[in-house]
Amino acid sequence: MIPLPLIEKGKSVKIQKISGGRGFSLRLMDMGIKEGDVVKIINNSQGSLLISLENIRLVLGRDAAFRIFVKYAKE
Amino acid sequence: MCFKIALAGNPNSGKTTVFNLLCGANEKIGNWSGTTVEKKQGILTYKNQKIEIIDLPGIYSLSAYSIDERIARDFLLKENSDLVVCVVDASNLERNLYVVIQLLELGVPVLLDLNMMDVVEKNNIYIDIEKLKKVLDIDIVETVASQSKGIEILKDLILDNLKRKKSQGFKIDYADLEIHIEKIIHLLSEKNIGLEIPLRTLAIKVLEGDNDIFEQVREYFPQITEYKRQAEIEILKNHGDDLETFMIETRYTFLKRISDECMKKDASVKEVTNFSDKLDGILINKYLGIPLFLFFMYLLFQLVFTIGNPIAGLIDSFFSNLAEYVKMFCQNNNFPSWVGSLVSDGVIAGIGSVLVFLPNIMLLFMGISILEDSGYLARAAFIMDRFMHALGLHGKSFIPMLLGFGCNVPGIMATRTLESRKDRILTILINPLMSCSARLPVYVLFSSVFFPKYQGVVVFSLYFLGIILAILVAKLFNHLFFKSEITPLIMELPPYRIPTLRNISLSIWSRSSIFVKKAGTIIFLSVVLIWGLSSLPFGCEYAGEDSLIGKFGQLIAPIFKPAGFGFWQAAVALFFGIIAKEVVVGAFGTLFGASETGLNSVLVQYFTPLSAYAFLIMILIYIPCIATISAIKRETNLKWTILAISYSLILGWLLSVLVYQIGSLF
Repeated sequence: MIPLPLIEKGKSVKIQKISGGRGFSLRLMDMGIKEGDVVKIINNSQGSLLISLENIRLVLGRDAAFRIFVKYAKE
Repeated sequence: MCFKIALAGNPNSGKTTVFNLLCGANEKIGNWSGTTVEKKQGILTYKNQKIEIIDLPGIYSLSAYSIDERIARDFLLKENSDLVVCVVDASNLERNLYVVIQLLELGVPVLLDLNMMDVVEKNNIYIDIEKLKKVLDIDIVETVASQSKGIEILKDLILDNLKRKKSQGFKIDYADLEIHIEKIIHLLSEKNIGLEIPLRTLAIKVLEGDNDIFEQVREYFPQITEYKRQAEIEILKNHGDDLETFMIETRYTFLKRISDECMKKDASVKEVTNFSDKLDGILINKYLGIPLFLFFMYLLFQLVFTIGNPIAGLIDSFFSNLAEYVKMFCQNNNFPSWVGSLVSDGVIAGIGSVLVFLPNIMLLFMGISILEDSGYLARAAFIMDRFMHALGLHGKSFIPMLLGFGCNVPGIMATRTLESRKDRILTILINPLMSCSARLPVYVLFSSVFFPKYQGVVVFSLYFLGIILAILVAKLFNHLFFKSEITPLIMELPPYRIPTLRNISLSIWSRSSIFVKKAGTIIFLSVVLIWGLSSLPFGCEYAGEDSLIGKFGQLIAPIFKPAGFGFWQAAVALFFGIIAKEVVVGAFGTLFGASETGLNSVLVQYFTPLSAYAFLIMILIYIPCIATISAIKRETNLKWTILAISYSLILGWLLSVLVYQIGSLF
């Protein structure tokens, strides 16, 4: 498992684990991001990350993103 | 009888556009009781039926994180509206339905509006409406609000749904949890606890860990804690999840099934990179993002001033002509001289000096609503995130700061979207350091007199100084009061959209009318007050040293001596500038007995370039205007309000003294 911010731009990854507080993971779930989802990194060059899941574009602060562990999705 | 309905849905689902189409300009903006969160209400009259519509803040779910969301949730839970119209982005159906099924679980009557059907078509998605209707057991209407499509059908269905209220038996099967839900329902049916919520909903909310409701239930049934614990243990044992996660996942599984059944995507059409992503490739690019952002800001301010100023000039001459005319009229008709003076020197000149800014303000709000509606403002927050991090805040706080350049009041109100208390308070405290448009006339007046060649540089230096100070103050306060607790940043970027003319004009209208109202009330009263103090005691020279205002000014003037402007007129101007910063220019006009054009020659007798700059620094920083102070008070509490007032006064005084004293050495 790799923390999300270490993934380079353009790669798709599967969310393995969301750690760091229930509030945080519940918030993400409310917005439609949960364990098992495949997300794509759109921008990872200016601190916070921009990820996409289907039509959703989500900005995650770098600290927040370090609480999300992923593995590379098989294309 | 007037029906009451609410509009609910995710942020960026086009809810406000639907609201505008239903109510037009027939809306009323107030506040939710106890907060400054904007409450938008409107009236729809359709087929002789009056319907009151309430536009709720956008929510992703019924769990509340920010103040905005708490208001929407409380309204949906506790106020019995006759119907809730859920506006959803149909191109994101699965996720948007999440809050819809939560509402259905609540047992509230829901009408589903599948909005953005044009995007659905473009993405080659097919939605089986009939099937969806059946599964959810509610009426569904398809709309494209940005093109006003489907609104008539929506109105018909609203009316139809209101006339035949049917109870819904919508249920999600929570599998292993059902037995616990039943047990709690059984327990709750023993006593009425005064909540008008169906028992099953209550049980679900209790299990889900809704604190408000849990506490209310526990007052009557202390054993509920044990009930919940048992459910928790069982779910953890069988599924390895906590209760909330388990319930959310059950809902998503349910939604997944619905979307599999009712939605088909034509996979044969290859997905092209969508327009938003392409645009983002440029606009939030690592190298281009910030320069482009600065360019847009430059463009915005150019627009505000190059188009606004000529119109402002017209308004200005209209009011000075009017004042002149009224004075003549009063003289010719032998009115007592004070009547003419009050009406023309006081009321017309005073209110005129404020209304002059109306064109600038309307243009600024136009620019801001274009930035908002197009989806760019959220990108700006993303671009500036790194910078904001240096302040101990994150990108979302940047939006209120940007709005502060227009006016600090909407800037402060915009902090309501921030989830953490620390972020809200810090952002509110530094907001007055953003040079609002009311301070600009003072900068322009002084810089044109004392620095005609470097006017642009001088004005820019003040804006820049404000930003630098905001950084330092934020860092200091963060260190002093909050010890750097960090809240995770999660923010959705809406897709780019072309703003509709209708939404923009309605937004300009609703915000500018507040400004005009202010001119008619607060400014009116303060102007009459200044006039009165300048004219009393009877027989004194108007606005002379012996008038009440002159005496008052002489009392506080010595404080400003070390800053180079220790004469009473400056003290009076600063004092009344607290009412509204626009008043500073007008006050100098009245006090020096000169029109604003003649003011130039008088000012050089009192100020040197150095003391003029020190004065401008004071104007930038010292005490926020009354409207801002009361916004801070409503959003925070007395303690933070006093801090905001005192730090700005002390900082402003220190810096202007510092600049004047150091400058005097050379």
